Amino acid sequence: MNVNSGYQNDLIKFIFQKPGSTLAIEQHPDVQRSIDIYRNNLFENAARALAITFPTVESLMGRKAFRFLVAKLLQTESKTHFDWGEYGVGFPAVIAEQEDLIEFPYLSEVAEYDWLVHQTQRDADILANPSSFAMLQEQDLSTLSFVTSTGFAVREFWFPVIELYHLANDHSLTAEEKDELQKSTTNLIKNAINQDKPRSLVMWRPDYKAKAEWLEDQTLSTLNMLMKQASAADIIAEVEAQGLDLTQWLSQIIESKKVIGIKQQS
Amino acid sequence: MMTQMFESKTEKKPKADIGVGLRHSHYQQALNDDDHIDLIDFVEIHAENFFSRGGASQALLHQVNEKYGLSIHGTSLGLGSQHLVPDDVLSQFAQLVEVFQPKLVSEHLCFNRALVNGKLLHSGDLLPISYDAESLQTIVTQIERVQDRIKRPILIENLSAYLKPEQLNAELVDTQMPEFEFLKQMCRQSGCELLLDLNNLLINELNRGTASPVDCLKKQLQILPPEMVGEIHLAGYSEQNNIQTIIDDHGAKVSDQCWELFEYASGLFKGTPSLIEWDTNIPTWQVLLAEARKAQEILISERVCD
Repeated sequence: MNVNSGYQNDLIKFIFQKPGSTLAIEQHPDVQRSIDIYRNNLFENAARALAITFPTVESLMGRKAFRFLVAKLLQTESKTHFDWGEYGVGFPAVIAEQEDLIEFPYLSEVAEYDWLVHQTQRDADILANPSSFAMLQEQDLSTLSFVTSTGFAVREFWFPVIELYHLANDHSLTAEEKDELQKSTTNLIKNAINQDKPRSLVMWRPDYKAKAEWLEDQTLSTLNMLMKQASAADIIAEVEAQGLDLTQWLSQIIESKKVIGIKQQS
Repeated sequence: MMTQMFESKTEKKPKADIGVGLRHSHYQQALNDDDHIDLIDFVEIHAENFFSRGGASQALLHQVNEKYGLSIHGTSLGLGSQHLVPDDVLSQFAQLVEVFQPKLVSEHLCFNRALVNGKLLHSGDLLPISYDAESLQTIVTQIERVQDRIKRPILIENLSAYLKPEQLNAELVDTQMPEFEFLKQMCRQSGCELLLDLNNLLINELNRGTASPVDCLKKQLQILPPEMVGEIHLAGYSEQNNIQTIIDDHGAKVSDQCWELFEYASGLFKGTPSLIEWDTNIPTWQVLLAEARKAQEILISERVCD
């Protein structure tokens, strides 16, 4: 190892040590002070970036508690990415491990949902191809599959994460609307504890903003099949098996832009 | 329409372009603001904020690019690192430059990655490199690699630092060269230009306890060949009295000393684009524009004196 590699490795090693820890080697107090400044920079940069990635967690917890959680994450998840936007996948697990947060059982799922929204908003654009829908009438359905929108995903959550996200981030809500949503969300949180299974939601990005909605049992299986890229023939058979109106189902998923085209199965 | 706006700029306009750092909280105001098109020639964005593969940020950047000139400022490549920037990250950076064809492209004279317990960590910060021959070779190689990919010269920004590498590793003491000598060599050997950050220079002198930092820096600036300086940065700082240190947080108005240095530097490096950075405690768009106006007035008075 050359001298510069040694210096660079040492500085980064010291910065990533737990805040407040002194250097492993004996150094001048000025050096310790400098390392502390860089440690503080690391923390502040992380807090700023994670507040963007996890806006609902920050809003629900408040700045002070959120910064406490950021410090915990820095001790757990190494920063290896160049882009701060890709840091924080371990935040839900860190939150789940905090015994002090036992009164907020939904917080870990809220972080998971924030992360899902964040990733969906950053996903590569997929261009819609409306003319490809003609293939449904022209070709063997077993050779075709639906093209889903950017970020299309079906996920399970116990707690009302969609409602909590709206409460924290939808600034267009009037005080009255907010109050009403707060009450219904509190009830949903109470009910969640007594549910025997989690609820499923679908997330997708029709344009630039991620959207999500809770799924009824009847539509869940078809959307799961969409996510797994099942053939158009199998999905249509499932729609019919669930007793759904095929025309209505198709126009709903196309109008909402969950499905944006048809392609030959690979 | 936009071309007409630029062409209609008055004769009072300084020869050098003025820009401001465009951060998230000002996106909409910047896009809706048609009243200051004469004042702002370009805005600077941080490359990493637009590394996502798609979504609103890319669309927004296209709109910004239509309205203002663009400067793409990298903050994460860490070209002084002993580890090469991975190819996929370099591609993200190069693609941004290729798609948006900005007026300016820049990065920092720093490192940010190192192996710790077998893992390559990224500090998420700008860390000081040693000013020695070996380190010079490293950064020149990395700059050339970036320039090959973006097919144009890059601007490299001098750094504010809270530590001298030789303080951490005594073996580096005898190998150091003066900062300005290092900057000149780096530009000559790699073909890059210098993004002269006056606030960073000032902070370093203040933290070293230099008696007359502005006078000291004025002398040093004379060493730089004018054609080497491709952009000037101005920013504010905060004072942490408990540790008697100036922190480069870009969280306040440009300091009086920095303005004084700018007045001098704009005479030395005539026609150089200049930019106001403000990254924390972000003010209103109007306050940021007032800082840009101040820079513009200095450049206009400079032009009158010519």
